[in-house]
Amino acid sequence: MSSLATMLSTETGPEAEPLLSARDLTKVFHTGGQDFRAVDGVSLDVKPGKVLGIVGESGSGKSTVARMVMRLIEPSSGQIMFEGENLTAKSGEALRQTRRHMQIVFQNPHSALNPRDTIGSAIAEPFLVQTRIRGAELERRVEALLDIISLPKAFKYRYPHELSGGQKQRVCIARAVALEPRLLVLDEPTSALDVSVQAQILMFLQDLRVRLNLTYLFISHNLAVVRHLCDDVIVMSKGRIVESGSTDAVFKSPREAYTRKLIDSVPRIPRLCV
Amino acid sequence: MTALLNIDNYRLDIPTFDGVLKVLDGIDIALEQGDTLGIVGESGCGKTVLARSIMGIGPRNARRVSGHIVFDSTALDELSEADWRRVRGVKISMIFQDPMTYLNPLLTIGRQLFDVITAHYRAQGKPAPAKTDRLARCVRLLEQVQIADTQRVLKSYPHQLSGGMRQRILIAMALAGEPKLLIADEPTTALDVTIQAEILKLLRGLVDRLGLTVVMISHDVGAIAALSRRVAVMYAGTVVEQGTAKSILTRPRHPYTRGLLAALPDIEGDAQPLEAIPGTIPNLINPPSGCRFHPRCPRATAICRQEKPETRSVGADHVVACHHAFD
Amino acid sequence: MSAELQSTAVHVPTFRERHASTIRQWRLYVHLFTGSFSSMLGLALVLLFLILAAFGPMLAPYPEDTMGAVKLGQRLLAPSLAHPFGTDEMGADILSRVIVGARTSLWIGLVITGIGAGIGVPLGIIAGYKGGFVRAAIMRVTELFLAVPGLALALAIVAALGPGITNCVIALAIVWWPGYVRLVEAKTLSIKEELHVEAARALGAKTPWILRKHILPNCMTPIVVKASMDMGMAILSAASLGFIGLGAKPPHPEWGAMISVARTYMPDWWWYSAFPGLAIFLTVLGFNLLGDGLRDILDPRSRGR
Repeated sequence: MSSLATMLSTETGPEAEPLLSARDLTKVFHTGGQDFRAVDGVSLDVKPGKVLGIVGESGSGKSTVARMVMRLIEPSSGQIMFEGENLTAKSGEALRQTRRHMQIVFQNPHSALNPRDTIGSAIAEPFLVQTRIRGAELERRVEALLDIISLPKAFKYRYPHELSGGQKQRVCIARAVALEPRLLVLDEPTSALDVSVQAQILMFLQDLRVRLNLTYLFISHNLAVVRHLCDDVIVMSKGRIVESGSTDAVFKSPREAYTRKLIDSVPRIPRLCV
Repeated sequence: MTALLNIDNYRLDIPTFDGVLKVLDGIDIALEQGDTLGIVGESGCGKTVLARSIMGIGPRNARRVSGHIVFDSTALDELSEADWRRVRGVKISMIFQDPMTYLNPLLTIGRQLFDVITAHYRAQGKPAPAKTDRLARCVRLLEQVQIADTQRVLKSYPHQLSGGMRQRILIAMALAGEPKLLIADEPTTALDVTIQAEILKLLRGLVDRLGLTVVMISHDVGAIAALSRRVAVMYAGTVVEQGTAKSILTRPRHPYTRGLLAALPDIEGDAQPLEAIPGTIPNLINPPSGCRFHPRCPRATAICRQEKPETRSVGADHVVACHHAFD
Repeated sequence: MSAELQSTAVHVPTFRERHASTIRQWRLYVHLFTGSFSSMLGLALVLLFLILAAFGPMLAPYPEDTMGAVKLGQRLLAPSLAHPFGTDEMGADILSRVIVGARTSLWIGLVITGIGAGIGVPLGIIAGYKGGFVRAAIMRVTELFLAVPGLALALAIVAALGPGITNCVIALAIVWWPGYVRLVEAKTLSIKEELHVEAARALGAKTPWILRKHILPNCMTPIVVKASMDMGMAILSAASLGFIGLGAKPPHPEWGAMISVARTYMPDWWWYSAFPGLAIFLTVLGFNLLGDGLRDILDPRSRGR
């Protein structure tokens, strides 16, 4: 764990540059002779050590933004800067090296793990792909990560289908933080999970962020979760940014009608009077 | 008491290769005509199996161990498949999470709705009225689910409509037989939050106007709270707490219900830290002895391991199955 | 950290514990497979065929008859205790020749299927994963091969290379791989959309790693099923080429070639063609039933539990 703890000694001060910034990101998909602008001129800044939320309904383009930021799909235009370097200009080995520092956790843990791989090999994969760590040291790293996600060591030998959704999502998170990234993109990480498991994962993510000094870009359609976890929020609709600002400001006094409608649509639960 | 739906000590087993799943373990639910019940619980708690058993479309190899589901003074679990045809879709209807799966992508909405109406007459052995009358009924059904441009929708194919529109059409089809009971299985889970609010409002309106009785299944406490007057909380095949929504949500007595509500992030954002329920849902082949929640329960004592708690009343229309229920 | 690790290093899991889930999976497979009569029949036929192929020369009652011994005194004897399948026009025991012919058929089947899969699977994976021009090129060539009837193409190739069992196998292997490309390409297209592939890309995995660790293992089920069925089909095709005189040459004991000679002795000396024919029939049936059975247990969609 000492290896992960080294991340605590960080260099980012309060007025630091944004860890990740995107300018004018646009993605146009060509389908059946028609152009579809999934993302249209989105700019954002993720401040180091903070959580930026992107909230929107289906088709708002929020997941496409997450994938473009990760360079999993190529933006049609726009620029992405990561740690002061132009990520959009990188390719091949340079891009591969940068991937160590930014990782993604997907919505559906059931398909994000290779069904033919044991949990042990799934967690070992980042090391095998990016480092020369092998053998006993690799075993030790895998067990340390299992420890961080509070799963017994014997889970190394299990297959994904034997784990619950929450356990699988923990394994995905362990894979994502294995190489000690700076930025973690979380694409609806709790949407496929039950409420009590969602709470477990959210608490774990909050704890992990402090322990590993991570920065999150958190994508969700669940406004309550965004409100709970994020420092700043961007509201997206139909590929464009509708509103952005600090989470408290946006939720307490939304400037746009769309944001207000979104917030008002969430069913309210009578408060516990205990 | 003349409850419309009465489920009494219902137990269901499903044999699998690894052993027998004890999916439902003594369910007791009673529902009056015109009432709305929300069954809330997490995946694997048995809520969907229960809903499908009411509809007679439960898992094919399931075995009923004890109890009955009595609807409108008929024991549903003793009906033959022929008798079921006069109940399913006519007296009890169901809507589902993903409406697209239940619509034929190759036929227009009008065609499908028309066929449903015709089939209902045939099932009841009545001669179907003239074609124009049945077409008029299609339009009336769409108006009932607040679809404005009925002519366009009738001519559309399912893929041309939005998810919310498709769910409205599924509700219209469910209403075609003028059912007494509507079972809604996660009706808003696949929808965006703004559409979800509209569908819940529509269902609420149907309950008020048509005197429909609704059983809604969901993992979403918010959606349940928006529609249901009464709530049943399920955990691992048992109903742990049941009563009016107000009473259960504002004053939960069962540790599980309390844990579930504390695990919900609040959109109002008032600094209430989340609380997670430790552990995972139990394996239903070898469920925990006594109270099935005891391994995860902060209040568990020796008796919880040994004895299954009896359901007892803790207020006007509020029952709880717990040895150490909160006051 | 070291203290934590030492405490856990004490317990070394046993083989059973490490592979508990694999053992359970195999028990389920065995349970499902043994529950199906046709699967078990297929397995029995294939096992019988493999035993004959392995120990043929030892099991054959008259081993010398399989190497072209001529016993003119025993020509075309009807089935009897001494010769249960009768004898042929050279006086050779047909049972012995059928038994020894199993090895030839196994060899033919394995080589054709092996080469077919060996060429087809990598091409299919590359076509499916790479997409674009690479895919277009591979798939057009594949379709070209698929558009020509396989046996006719093989026939032309054998005619060019000259008859003989080796040329026959080469020709069939050349026409066999396109089926695998099609199968694997389609499977790869769906697997590459799965999140674990995208997750591996996000980790910075290189393409060969993704193909080897993510795509290939998840393609194996349909490949195994197809290979099993193809064993039967390859044997049948080789026998067909043997029958028209382009495959094995007498006195080499090959079922197709045996029937080819035997057809002039129909119908009076029916046993001459009937027993090699029965051997082909049962072998092909066995591999097909086995393939069906494997599909039923390996494909989760065809399994209701």
